[in-house]
Amino acid sequence: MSIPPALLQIRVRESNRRRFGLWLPLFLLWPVLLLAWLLFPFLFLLGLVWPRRDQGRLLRGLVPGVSRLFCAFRGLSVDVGDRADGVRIRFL
Amino acid sequence: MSEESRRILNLLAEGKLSVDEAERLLAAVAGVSGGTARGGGSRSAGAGAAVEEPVMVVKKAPPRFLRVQVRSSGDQDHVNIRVPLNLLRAGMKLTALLPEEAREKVQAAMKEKGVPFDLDLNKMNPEAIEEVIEALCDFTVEVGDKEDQVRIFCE
Repeated sequence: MSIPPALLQIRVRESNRRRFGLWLPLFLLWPVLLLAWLLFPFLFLLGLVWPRRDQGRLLRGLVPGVSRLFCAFRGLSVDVGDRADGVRIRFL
Repeated sequence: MSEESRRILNLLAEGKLSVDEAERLLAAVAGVSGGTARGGGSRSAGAGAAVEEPVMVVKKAPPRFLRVQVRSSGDQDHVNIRVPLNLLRAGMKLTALLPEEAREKVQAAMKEKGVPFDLDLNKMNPEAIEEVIEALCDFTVEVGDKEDQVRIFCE
């Protein structure tokens, strides 16, 4: 698991308008992730005693799975456009 | 180390050869040169037995991103997408955790949209997921001409 992304950059470029950029502070979600990990032992125990096996497996694997997914977003980059217009999204 | 071996290792370090190709070429070079290489490049020990110099093979780092590049010089359209392979791994592993009803609902919804998706990710273990990712890493697409190009590759 790598470090989770800290920032999300969104940049929009339009031919007849000014371009604008946005920086979203994803590091504000880090405490939420920390809280999820603090709750993880209880969720894990709950998942062990849950009557349905598949739902129990989801409970046990939810926090690690979502954490892994969130951390994996770092490095994702999408850049689409043409001469006049374009959108760039980057997870940093 | 012979000149051919050194050249092969340089190409491997520059990423122009894969590890398998380099191994085959080194084996071929060793086979062709045979006794000449042993006589010229090896040290003799004890009662005349020749000792081969070990060949150092530089391992190429595993790819980390899936890249999709589309360029059209006419409209100057461009698409440049870089997806971390860890994102694919994490997504597949998380999807494998979905309960049966949720998976059936997702499959039904995708079928409605015309995407038949019958893959049972529940049965996919981490090794199978790694095999899929590895196969994806070996998958390269380069289509186009001077004006329009589509490239899909891993780096």
